[in-house]
Amino acid sequence: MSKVWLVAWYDYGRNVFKKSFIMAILSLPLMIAFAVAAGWLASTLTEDDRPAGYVDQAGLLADPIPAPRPGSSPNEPSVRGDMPLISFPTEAAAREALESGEIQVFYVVTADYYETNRVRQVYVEPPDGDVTRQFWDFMQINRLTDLPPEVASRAVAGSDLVVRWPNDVPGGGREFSQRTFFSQFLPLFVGVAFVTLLFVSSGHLMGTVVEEKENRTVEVLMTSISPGQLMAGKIISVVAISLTLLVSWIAFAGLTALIGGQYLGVELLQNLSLDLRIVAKMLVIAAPAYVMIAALMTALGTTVVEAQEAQQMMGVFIIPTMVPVWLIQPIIEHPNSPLSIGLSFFPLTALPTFSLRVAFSQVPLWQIALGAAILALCAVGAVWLAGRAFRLGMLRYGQRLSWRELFNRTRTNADLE
Amino acid sequence: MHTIEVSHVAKSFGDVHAVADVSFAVERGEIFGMLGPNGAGKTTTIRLMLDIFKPDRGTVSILGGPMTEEKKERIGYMPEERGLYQDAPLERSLVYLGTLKGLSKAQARQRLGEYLERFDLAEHKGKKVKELSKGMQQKAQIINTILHQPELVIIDEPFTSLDPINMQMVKDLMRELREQGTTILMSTHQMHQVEELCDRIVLINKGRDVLYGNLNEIRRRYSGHAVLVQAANGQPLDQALGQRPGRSGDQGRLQIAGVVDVSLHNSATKLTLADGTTPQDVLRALVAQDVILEKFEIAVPTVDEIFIRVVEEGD
Repeated sequence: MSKVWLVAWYDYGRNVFKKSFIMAILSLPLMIAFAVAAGWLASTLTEDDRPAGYVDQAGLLADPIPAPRPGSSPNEPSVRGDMPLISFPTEAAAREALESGEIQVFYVVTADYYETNRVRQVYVEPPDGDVTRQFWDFMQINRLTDLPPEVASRAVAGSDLVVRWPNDVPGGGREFSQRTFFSQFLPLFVGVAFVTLLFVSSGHLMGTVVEEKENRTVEVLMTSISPGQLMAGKIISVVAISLTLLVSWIAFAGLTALIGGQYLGVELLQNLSLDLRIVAKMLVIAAPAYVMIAALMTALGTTVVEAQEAQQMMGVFIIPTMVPVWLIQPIIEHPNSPLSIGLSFFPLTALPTFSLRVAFSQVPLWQIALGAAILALCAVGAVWLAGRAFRLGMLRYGQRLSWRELFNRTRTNADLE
Repeated sequence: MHTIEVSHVAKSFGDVHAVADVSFAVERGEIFGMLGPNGAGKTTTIRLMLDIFKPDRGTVSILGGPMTEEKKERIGYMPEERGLYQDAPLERSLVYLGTLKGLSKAQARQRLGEYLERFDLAEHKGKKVKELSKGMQQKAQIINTILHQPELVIIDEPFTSLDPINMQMVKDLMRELREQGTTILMSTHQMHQVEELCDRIVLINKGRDVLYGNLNEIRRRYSGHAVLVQAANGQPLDQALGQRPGRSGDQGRLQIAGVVDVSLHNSATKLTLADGTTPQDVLRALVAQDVILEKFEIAVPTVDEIFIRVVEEGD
């Protein structure tokens, strides 16, 4: 195995098989799982799963069509399951069932329903809106019996607004749908995940570099391999660490969506889909951004004296990266404005800005290519800078390497020949 | 061909001249001592030799030429303090560093197992380095330095934190390595270890080499024209003379032709000889006076004494 891979594998193992990293892997999915579980639990605990009843005095429901599944209306998502409806011949029978607790509510479709549209609701404790909505859907579909069943069902389901890009425009074929509303935000979450991963993993790298400097291991390393091999190994380990986190998060998110959507009936987690073309575009931007930030973090790690100081100085990179997040509204509203385009081409803000833009608009291909090219150039420069900082700064125990020294050609060239 | 040749190297950091002018050569298969007070420039010189720093001036040849990536696998280096991953288990850390020196994992594990047994660290191999005592960490560092069986070992303060038993173990190891043909450059402050182990030395002070050569020759060079004498039963010479039967008072005072000064030196008597007087003259004179001798030797200074003398002269 080449020394580059030895370094990469060792650094990967040191970071990934640590309690803190495992916590980092679990933190996001656990948070989502907790939120889903809490919502489901709260709903389950407060849900009255007893059936509802009805008394049909109008003869409307003599041969009833079942109500559509709850939550099928895009405007009224629900986490409840199907609720049985029991027909009672008389109001007295229904009242008896209500008082015995067999049913939670019953509805009386009065004899003059066709004239008045009146339905009387009788209950001991008021039922939640979902029960009433289900009964209303049931009534609706049974009033449309003169229409074909599929038309009646569609009418009850209500409107579903879909915005679709024409296929013949660049990046066309995408669509926004009310029904898959949550899916529209997935690219945004993926973008946020990319940025979070970037800082988690490169933060680990910086910690490793500072530790090697603090405990003098770097002297042993530098008499074993070249600084270039060491740097390359470390950057590969950052990419591998990021991928591990990403894959773990995707796996956990998928599992949460599966359990929440399929087994717990959480509407938000049903019908999720992610456009892989968007992910591919993000990857084109993320790859050079990772190399650039990893190299800059390494350079930072070599210039400081202690790990704590390095953590504080990470803000230099984090704050500019957060600018697009602070400007999220104007970027989403005007994804092709000069501000959005400008931030896309600034290396430290490129990744979060592109993540926002590709999630909500069609970003021209040339902009993605130019953004990636700028980042790639900056990544090359950052690696060069990190190599320089590494040779100059790693053996300065207790002394900070100034950025002026880093760029001073005459003083440093002798050490970098 | 020398294993290391350092020729007039100089290195500055800003306004600080860490190394001003140092030259020396290390021969194949010897234990070479690099001495000097704190801040003399020893560590910087080592880093120049290892190509960690580039010299501002002068040249370094190591294993027959400039440092290359390939040569790094033929060199073992132990920095002055620490040098191991503190949070990593001992075995994992040492196997990793061994593989960076060109060993396969299997080779590194097998050799490491042997050394861990020898250095009484086998039962600690699963512990994190920071959980080991300083002495254990020092031994682990020494193992890391020699695990890949290097031709050249550069070792900075090898005896720090070691108890006498482990110190002896390390000394035996160094002698063993020398017998196997390994060249060892040792930087240390412990002069008695230098006397015991080193064939040749260089003394660096204020960034310059101020003393260089064969240790015995240097000691002879710095010895005065004197002999150390001890009478039987460990008595100083004047007492032995005073206790001889039939002699007392002034008769017992030490009077030897050709001796210009008499002083006590530990339990022996140091006789400084006049020009033209040889140690043989003094020995003959003592024998003639029926003194029973237990020790008679040319007085040579300790490395400690030479070190202090040279450094003070330099100041």
